[in-house]
Formats: sequence, C-alpha cells, structure tokens
Amino acid sequence: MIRLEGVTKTYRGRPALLGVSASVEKGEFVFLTGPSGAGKSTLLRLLYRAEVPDAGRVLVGGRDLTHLSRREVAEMRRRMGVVFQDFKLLRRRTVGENITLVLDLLGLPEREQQRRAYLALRQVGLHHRLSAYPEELSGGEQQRVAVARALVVQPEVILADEPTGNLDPERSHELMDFLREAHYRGTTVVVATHDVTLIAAHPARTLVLDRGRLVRDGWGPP
Amino acid sequence: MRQHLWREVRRQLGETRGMSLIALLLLAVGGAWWLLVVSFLQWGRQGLEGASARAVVVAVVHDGAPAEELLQRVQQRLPSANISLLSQETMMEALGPMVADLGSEAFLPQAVCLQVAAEQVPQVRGFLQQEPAVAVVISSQDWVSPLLGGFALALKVAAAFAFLLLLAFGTLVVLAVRVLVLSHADEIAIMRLIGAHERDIRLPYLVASALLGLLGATLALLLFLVARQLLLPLVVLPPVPWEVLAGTVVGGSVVGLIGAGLGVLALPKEP
Repeated sequence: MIRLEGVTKTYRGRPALLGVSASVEKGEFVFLTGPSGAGKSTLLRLLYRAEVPDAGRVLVGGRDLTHLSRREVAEMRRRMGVVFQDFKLLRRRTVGENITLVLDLLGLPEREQQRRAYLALRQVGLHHRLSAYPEELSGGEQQRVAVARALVVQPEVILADEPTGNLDPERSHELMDFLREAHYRGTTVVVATHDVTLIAAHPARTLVLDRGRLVRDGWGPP
Repeated sequence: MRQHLWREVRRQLGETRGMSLIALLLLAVGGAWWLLVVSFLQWGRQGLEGASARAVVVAVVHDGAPAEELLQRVQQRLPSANISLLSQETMMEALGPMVADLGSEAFLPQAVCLQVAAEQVPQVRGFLQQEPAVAVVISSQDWVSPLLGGFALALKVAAAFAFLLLLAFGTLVVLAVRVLVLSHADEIAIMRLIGAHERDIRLPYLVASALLGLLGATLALLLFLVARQLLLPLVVLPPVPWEVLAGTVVGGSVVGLIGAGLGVLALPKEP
C-alpha cells in the first residue's frame, strides 16, 4: 500500500530524512515513532504529498507521488484520511459542514453527505454537536471531529500526525480506539507519535526514526 | 461544492458587509446615472435629428434691393424647394415679441426663406451668396451640427464618468476579495489538505463578486426607473434600448467577476 524507496529530504541543507526505505501492507496498523526532529512529520507530509523527496520514491497505492499534478494530488488527498495534531478544522464552518465538505468534494449527493456525516459523528460520539462550531468544542472533541472527517470518506489509508499530542491520556486512548476500529475494517493506518506509552498500550508494528534514519522496524515500543 | 458553495458565498458577503455595501452603492448610483444620461442623450438626439433632416435657409436681402426678383430667381433655380418671402411685416411679427427695442418695421430687412433637405444646404448657400441682392445667408444647420457635436462630447464625458465609477467598484471588489483571501489563508491551506482543487477554493469568491455586480446593476435599473418616473412631469424620456439595459446588468456582473478574478489570482501557498 505504501512504499518508501531510499527517501531523502533536506531543509536548507539540514537532513530531515536520509535514505529511508520501508513498506506498509494494505490493512496494516503501523506506528512511526522517534524523538522530536527525527523526521516523523516529514515522512507523513511526504505521504500526503505536502512535500516531495529530494531523492528516492514515495509510492502510495502503487502510484509514485513525486510526479503527480496538482489536480492528481487533490484527487489523491480526497481518498485519504489525514488527522493532524492541531486538528485543522475549518473555523467558520460547523462540525457538520467540516465533515460534509470532504464528501461534497467527492461529488456525493447532499442526502448521502448528511447521512454519512451523521454516522461518522455518531461513531465518535459527537452526533449531537452537528451544528456547533469548532471553537465551541473542547480539544478532545475537536480531535474526534477530525477523526470523523478522516473516517467519513472510507479511505484506504489513514495518516495521523501526533493525533494525541493535545489530548489527555483518557482521550488519547479513546482516539486510538477509533483508529483501531478503522484498521479492523481493513483500512491501512499510520500513526506518527513520540508517546511510547501509547504504543505500549496499543502494540503494533513500529518504525523508529532517529535523526532522519530508520533505525528499527519491529513490534511494540522501542 | 453545491450547497457548500452557496453557504460560503453567503459567509463571504457577510464578512465584507461594509465594503460590499459601498461597492453596491457605487455600482447602483453609477449605473442609474449612466442610464439616465443615455436616456437624455437619446431624447436630445431624436429632436435634433428630426430638426436636421430638413433645413431652413434664410437669405437676408440688402436694404432696398428687389426681394421679389430674388424670390423668382430662386424659384426658377430650385423648383422643388418650399420658398417664401419674409416681408418686413412678417419679420416684425416674428421678432417683435423677442426684441424689445426693434422700432419700426421700416428698418427691418426683407428675407427669402427656403425649406430644403439637409444635404442641399451647401449648394443653396453657395447659390444665394453669389446673388448681389443677398446680404447674409443663415442656415438652421449652423446650430444643429455644433449641438450634435456637443451631444457626442457629452456622451463621451458621461461614458468616462460611468467608467470611473465602474472602475471604483471593480477596485473595491479586488480589495475586498484580497482581504478575504489573506484572512482565509489557514482555511485555504486546510481546503487543499482535504483535497480541494484550486477551482473549488476560488469559485466562492468569484460567485460572490459576480452576484454583487448583478445585484448592484439590478439596483441601478430600479433607481433609473424611479428617477425616470420622477422626471415624467418635466420630460418624457424615450425608452432605453434593451441592449443597453442588459449590457448594464451583464457589465456589472462581469466587472465583479474580473475584480474577484484579480483578487484570487495569487492564492496563499501551501505551508
């Protein structure tokens, strides 16, 4: 599903990733961990094509992301669920609109959008906040909305960049449960986190990065 | 982007209430003024063109010269023209009410008056000027042509003023859209991350501005109709051609669209 072949990325001469090669199979659940500045976020940004590698290839679903046009990048992102540490919800839109917008981009009819948005929000326990604005929600609730937005498109891949970074432990585990559920339904999930206790509580394949290099590919916390 | 598009358009118009209102008023007042000017020009032109189709040429005869002989010569030369002799009595009747100290009719000259087609005026004038009995030749074309020229100039000035108001409207739209785009930079970045095309991002700004133009131009039409109705006791203005009315509405929308197009030309880059 995901393949990295000798991926190198530098920012103003400072290496963020150095010759990273790895692959993630369809339906796998993978943690990406390492200390701050290890290159976790850079790797995820490469996967949703917010960056292009200086060297090497990034393939998702068999497609090399390096040579995609703007339009193709947009099409690819529509079918991918991404969860960010800072949620990235649209402030001027309601919870319901934040969810239905991604379905609207896919061209779904309005009734179907409403139905799917309701189901996705019910899944994360926020169906009663459909008309609320993001600023009216707590951090945990906002993150659940972000997860619902990622799940609602029924993506083949979910990428989560430090999704629990702004949450307390209880909310963190709750969020992990949502991602686990998606994984059980066959979705490939990649979670970047520096929280080792989270990995210990939800053991899975773990890729460890350190100063831009892949230093471990194994099971459970490093 | 159907229902999201309309919601976003409503939000954007709400966010730029002040600027949108000023832009709307500029377009409405400018458009109504433009239509009024077009109406007045049409009204004046119709009158002048009617007057200029047939011309009146008056040849004032020298004091003591035989006016009847001149009249006969002119009738022989121009049998199709409507020719009459303006006697001293007729001149007195015509000029008396307008000029207070005209004195006795004996001091007035006689004149020969010809009604001819406008294109015949130079030929008739040339013939009359060669006549020794004729002192002065005057033609109605002498004042119709400058007035038509004046109307053409007025049309240019009116068009320039309307264009300035349209330009002011367009500039306001560009500024409003630019301010919105910059204040929505974060949102635009998120839209891209969830898979929105550049078209999806730009479309609401374009639609909102085109709607503003359409609304402003429609208001201009209403204002114009009200002004026309108010002027009815003074002057009956001819109807404005539908092409001009449609052009005003379409023009307003197009300027709004172009303004928004310039405003969203450069969107904030991905972070």
